[in-house]
Amino acid sequence: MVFLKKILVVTVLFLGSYVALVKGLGPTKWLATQHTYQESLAKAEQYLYYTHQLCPRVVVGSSLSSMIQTFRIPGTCSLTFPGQTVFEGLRLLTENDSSPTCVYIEMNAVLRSEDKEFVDYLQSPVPYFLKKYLRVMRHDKQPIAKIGQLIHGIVEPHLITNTTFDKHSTQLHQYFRKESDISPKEYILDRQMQRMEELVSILEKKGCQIVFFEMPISPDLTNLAQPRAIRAFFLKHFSPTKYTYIFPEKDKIYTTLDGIHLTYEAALEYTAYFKKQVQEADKSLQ
Amino acid sequence: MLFNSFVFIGLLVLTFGLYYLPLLSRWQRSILILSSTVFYSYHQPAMVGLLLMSVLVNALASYLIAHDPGVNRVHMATLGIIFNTGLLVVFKYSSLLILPLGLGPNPLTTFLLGIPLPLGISFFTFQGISLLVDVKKENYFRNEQLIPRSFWHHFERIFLFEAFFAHAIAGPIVKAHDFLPQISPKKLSTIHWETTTKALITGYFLKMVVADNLKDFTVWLAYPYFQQFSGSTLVLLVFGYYFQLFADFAGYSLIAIGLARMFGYSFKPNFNFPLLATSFRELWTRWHISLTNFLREYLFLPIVRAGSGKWRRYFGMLFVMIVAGLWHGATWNFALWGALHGAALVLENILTKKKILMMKSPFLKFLKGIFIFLFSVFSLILFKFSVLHDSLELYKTIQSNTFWFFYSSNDTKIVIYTLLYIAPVGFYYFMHFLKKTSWYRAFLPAEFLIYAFLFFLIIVNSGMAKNFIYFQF
Repeated sequence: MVFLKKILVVTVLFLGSYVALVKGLGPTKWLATQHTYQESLAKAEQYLYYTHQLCPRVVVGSSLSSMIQTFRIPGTCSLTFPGQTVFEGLRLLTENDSSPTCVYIEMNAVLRSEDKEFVDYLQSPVPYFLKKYLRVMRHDKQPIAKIGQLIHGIVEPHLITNTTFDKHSTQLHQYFRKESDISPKEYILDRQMQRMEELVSILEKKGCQIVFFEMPISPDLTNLAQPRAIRAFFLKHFSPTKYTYIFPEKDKIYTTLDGIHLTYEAALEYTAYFKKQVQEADKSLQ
Repeated sequence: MLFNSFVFIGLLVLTFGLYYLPLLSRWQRSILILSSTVFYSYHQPAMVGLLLMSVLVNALASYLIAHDPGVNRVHMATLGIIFNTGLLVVFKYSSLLILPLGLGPNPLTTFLLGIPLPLGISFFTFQGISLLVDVKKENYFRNEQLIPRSFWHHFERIFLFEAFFAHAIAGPIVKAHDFLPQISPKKLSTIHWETTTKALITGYFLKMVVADNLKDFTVWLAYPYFQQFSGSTLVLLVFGYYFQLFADFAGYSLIAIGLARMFGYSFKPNFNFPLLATSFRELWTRWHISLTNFLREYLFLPIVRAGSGKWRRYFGMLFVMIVAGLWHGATWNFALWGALHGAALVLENILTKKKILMMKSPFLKFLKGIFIFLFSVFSLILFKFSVLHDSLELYKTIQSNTFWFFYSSNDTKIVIYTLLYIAPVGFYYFMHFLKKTSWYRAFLPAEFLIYAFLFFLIIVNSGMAKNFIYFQF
């Protein structure tokens, strides 16, 4: 028992010192994430514990819409999570006490299964409470992540050789084209739309306005079976007479990395277009 | 319920408090059974019925073998083993057996393919088999000593044996002759807190800090996404997957051992520094020891003893390893992985007998150890994917992509963090060696500092809790 007591005392000392270090440096100096999934967790925590007070607009979506540079659109937060769906962001909004005035929902990646563990984990009562008051327990404050970030900063300039990325982009582009050419099963789309209706209706009851938007993808993919079916299902389940839709500009070609993700330059262009649409939507919603 | 969830911590604290309450000391077994049932039913309440059925059948069969002279012991044990194996076949291997038949959709195939995999089925069915064989053979205990005359008491003991939450859903596999003699009233004062704390902290650290963080990098070992990485990054990720698997399961086993100790039970170690193995035979005495021991005792030895000759022995090795592979999952990739290890064992056996592999020099042993480690790591490519095509694509990509370049910033990030999270496993091995030195004995009074640091990292640097990989088995 003495051994256990000693461990507990020293752990509290370690924890106290770490809290002091992070606090001393300032919360923005000690920021690091290791991988995309952790970035998503950190983004969600940031929203839950802080930025929800500052954002009347929230964009929910997948890696496609995470290319939108929401920091360029005042009053807009992003709950877009790469590798995931729109449902995680929507669930976070439905289960949070405060709600934004307008939610922008990406239409593209609705076929993937919802990652229920993601939101359950973030909303789990004990960790939620602990992370709220003990910042060092949040995902962007991990010490090993910070050490890795420091090493990465030193090592990266000497290592990157971006020689064959094009080859892999083409491979991925072909893969996504193949996937997009397959018509999704109707029962899957129906199930996903029902889930969407469920979450949208909760948000509407909380007084949120809903806007749907489609992220631009490579022109050779835009009108393949899968995107067409998704578009049709959205318009069937969420009438355009009731809901606002933002579609990519006709005849405008955005360059992509792999067929579905915009390049940095294209993302900048789309952000400008999206910002304009948001301002118009704001006017029409007033 | 996950060992690293707050719901489990709550259940554990409540169970522990009630278990050692003097007023309730008579009900210790019942408290553990109730708590284990809550634990098991948390994710799959419908499957508690299956667990109960397994307990009931195994308790009844073992009771009749032990106490009913009118029962044919061999027939009863065989029926019980068929029942346990049948559960596994129906609930775990239906898809593997039905899909190749190409049967069209009909109510039976739809039902069989739609059955969810019950948590821990591979563990509690094996434990049921161990009970029936032990009671039938009486090799380790006399039935009068451990099978009470009262069926209710026996049922209660078997329920605890199969369902005890410390090992119920992800092992280690506990044999009847190891567990049943331990069922007795327990006292708080007999808990050895130091070893219990060490097992729990090391286990949680390996699971939550090492495995749960590594999994977010090895996630890139998925087709076609791995094609975007350099050969060296992919090789490192395969190593990362090996260490993730080790940390996940060795960590889980240590937590199970620590939890069992809290309630007065002792489980044998399930991992014994497998990286130090210098032969394939030794590897399987160090990695997932409880499975190896089970398969050796209840499958390999009966095959070998049923006849004579080296070919029977070789067949036994190959067959047992294919079963071990399939035990991990219902895909042919797992069978192939098992067959590969079985073939390696047979080959090693042949070469050792011909005195070709009698390596006495420490350096040669070391080289062989490295070969075995590399073989274990790269054979895991079969283990990682559910279809052979994806495994072969990964082998091909490692060869065809430029090896030493880093294609993107993500590439370098993955390399750095994978190495950072593999490092603690290296430290774990280093400590194992250090503990044998006199220097370490001098450091022993300050050992708690290491455990406090590990505990600190569990609090501030855990990955997102996901299921233990071994839950799927």
